[in-house]
Amino acid sequence: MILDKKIRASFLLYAILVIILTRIAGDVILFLVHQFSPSTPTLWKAFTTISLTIALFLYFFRDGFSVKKTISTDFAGEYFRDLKLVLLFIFILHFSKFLIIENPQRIDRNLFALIFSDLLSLFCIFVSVYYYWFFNKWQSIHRHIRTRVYMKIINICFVILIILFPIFDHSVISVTGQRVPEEVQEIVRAATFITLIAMLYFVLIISKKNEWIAILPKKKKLNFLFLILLTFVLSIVFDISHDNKDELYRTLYYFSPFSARFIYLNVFILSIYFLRLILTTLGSLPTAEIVEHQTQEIQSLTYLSKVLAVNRDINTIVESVTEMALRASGGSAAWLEKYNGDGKPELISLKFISETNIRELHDKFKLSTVLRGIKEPMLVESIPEEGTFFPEALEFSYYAKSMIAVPIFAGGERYGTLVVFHPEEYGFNIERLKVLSSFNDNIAIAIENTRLISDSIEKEKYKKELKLARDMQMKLLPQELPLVDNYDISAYTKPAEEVGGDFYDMGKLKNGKYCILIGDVSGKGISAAFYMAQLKGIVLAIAKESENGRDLLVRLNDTLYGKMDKRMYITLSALVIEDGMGNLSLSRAGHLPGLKVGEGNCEFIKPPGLGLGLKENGFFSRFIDEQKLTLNHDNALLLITDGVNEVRNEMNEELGLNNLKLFLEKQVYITSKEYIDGINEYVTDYMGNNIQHDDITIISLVYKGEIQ
Amino acid sequence: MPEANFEISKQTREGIDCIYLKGYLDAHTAPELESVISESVTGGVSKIIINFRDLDYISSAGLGVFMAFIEDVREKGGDIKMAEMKPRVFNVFDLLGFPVLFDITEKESLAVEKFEIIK
Repeated sequence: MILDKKIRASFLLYAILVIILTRIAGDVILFLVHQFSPSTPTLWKAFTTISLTIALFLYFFRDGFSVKKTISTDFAGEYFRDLKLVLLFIFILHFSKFLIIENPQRIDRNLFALIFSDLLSLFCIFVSVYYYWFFNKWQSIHRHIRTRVYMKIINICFVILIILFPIFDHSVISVTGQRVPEEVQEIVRAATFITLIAMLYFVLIISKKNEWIAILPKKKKLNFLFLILLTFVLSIVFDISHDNKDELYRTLYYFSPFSARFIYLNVFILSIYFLRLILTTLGSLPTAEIVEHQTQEIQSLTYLSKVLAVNRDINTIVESVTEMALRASGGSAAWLEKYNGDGKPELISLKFISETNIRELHDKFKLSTVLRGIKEPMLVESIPEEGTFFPEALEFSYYAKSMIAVPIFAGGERYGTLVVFHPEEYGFNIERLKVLSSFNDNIAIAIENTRLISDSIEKEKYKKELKLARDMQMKLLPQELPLVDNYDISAYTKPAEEVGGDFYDMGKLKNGKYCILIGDVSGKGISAAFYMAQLKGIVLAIAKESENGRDLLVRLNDTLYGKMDKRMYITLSALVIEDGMGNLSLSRAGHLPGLKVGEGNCEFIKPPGLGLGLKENGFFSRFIDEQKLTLNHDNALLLITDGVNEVRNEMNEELGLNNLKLFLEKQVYITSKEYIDGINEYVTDYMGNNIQHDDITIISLVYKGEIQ
Repeated sequence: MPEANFEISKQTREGIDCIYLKGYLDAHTAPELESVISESVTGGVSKIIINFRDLDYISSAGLGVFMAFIEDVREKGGDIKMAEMKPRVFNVFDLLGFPVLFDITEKESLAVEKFEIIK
């Protein structure tokens, strides 16, 4: 595709060159054979001119009529460049008049004059097409909905005029050599005139999107005005000056009548176009300064947004904001003070004023009180007049003739104040206040963001710490359980999200018998985890001193009572393996009952007992008792924590011990692992999409000894 | 999550504060209960009845709240009595051995009577 375009472009250029050379060569030949006379080879002239015009046209518009735009293109700059070229060409056209040495009628006598005339005419055709292209390009770039329609109308008028011009143009001899009748002449003149007016109208109104002129900086605007005025004047003069006696006109006419009309029409279009631009530019001059200020303000705000997006450091942001505020308002000095409690305000960013000066204003002239008190932006239009807080005598008062103070709120609290001084009385205006208020909003947002970000970082840190704590807690639980003859023992624990209070362990009593422990600290979170860790520390040591399971729990209660928060307690069960024949004993301190499973039955083993840490030992030991039980071969004793039976399904219904019992009665497990996996699966299924809210711990002990 | 559904109301008659619980009592809602009981205790009331008839669920944190005040209240000669528990809630108390710690009755009126007797 691209290659295609390049080939086409090259082809067109070659074609143009060929036509030019052909024309010149042809004219020279005709001259040499004395056949050349200004009026004869009409067809030859027409053909070469029109084909050249078409070729040029195709070349200029090889990429189509619409110009592709991107946001970042500097159109103003490009316009200036194109405009200067337009101006250059029109200068050359004017200048060329002085270069026409010979009277055109002498062309047939002088070869150099002929060639020069040809070249000049060819140049004019080139300029004509260029002008048309220039007009079209900039209408396309600054197009609106109606551009297409208007351009079409303009083009139609253009073609009509090209055709009608000869008649309007005093040459009343038609192609056949006969005089055109008077009525026809009148009609044609009228038609030409109407078409001209129509074209003029549409050229005037087609250039509607001229805001780009309004937002040019003042200097550039004046420069622009100068250029288009000059171009306009030269164009009009050029057009008006064309009559039968004008040298350039005659040169062109003898080259080809079409070329003459062509260029004057194109220059005409441009001059009307520039007239429109001149009016627009003149109209926008009075407000030029305001527009410039507003543009600057928008730029400041854009810059500020960038600063805010990139920077997290509140001080950098505050510095930028103060500077922007200063620039946008045209002030002479500014600062931002921050209030930390009732003490002295903290001066965060100072521009063109010293800390000493500000403190002086605060202390001697109560400025800080005034500033703290404002709830809305305050404007002091003339400090000398309102003279509130400092007399003229102060050294810096010469540049502080008016003042704006903007209170800054962040997160619902008064963060500080932004103060700007101006060197002139009545130097600010209401518009300035609005911009400064928006700066204020920006600071508030920035402060909030900084807080949110640091909060979020804290939270992340906290989450990491929690995870660390959970990992450590997991390590406190036994990784492997001791092997005991005739028994198959497994344990499983799955913590919920946070650190938790589930506990299990296996140790030896004083008499050497093994004791399996399972426990649950009330509540969840860090405090539960702490108690769990504490428990781990003491329980095995206490076990070694204990005669039996009940004794262990009593000793534990004694250790724990009074040392824990009154609202907390620990539930614990101690299962002692009495011998290798399936005899066990269970003691229960407020914990869930043990589950004895076997032969299609599931029985709750629930000896009496209070939770640990609730009552002093006298009371405690009165209400706790041990229960003995015997397991048959392949029977199991299961210990669980309430994370198992309190699991909830998607409709928030608890599983409940009864459902667990019913489930277990249906299973035929024979290893401890089967029990654990089975219960786990059952519980997970029951949960469905709901999440686990509490730690789950399961200990299963299966008697593998002799069948009794 | 059901935690949000918790309501608590209090009525005073004959020097006894009757506290009515409704919904779910767990770690999230326990502080509310704590502040209500605390209010009574600091207000000098030492006779408190907790009515559980509309309570659907209680967790370990909920149970712990009562432990925080029971000793103080009993020292002043009063008590925290519990009445009209649903079976499921009673089970939880029972597992922990609370029935030996607290006076749990089937009817509120019975608890009131017990306070009268002590008088």
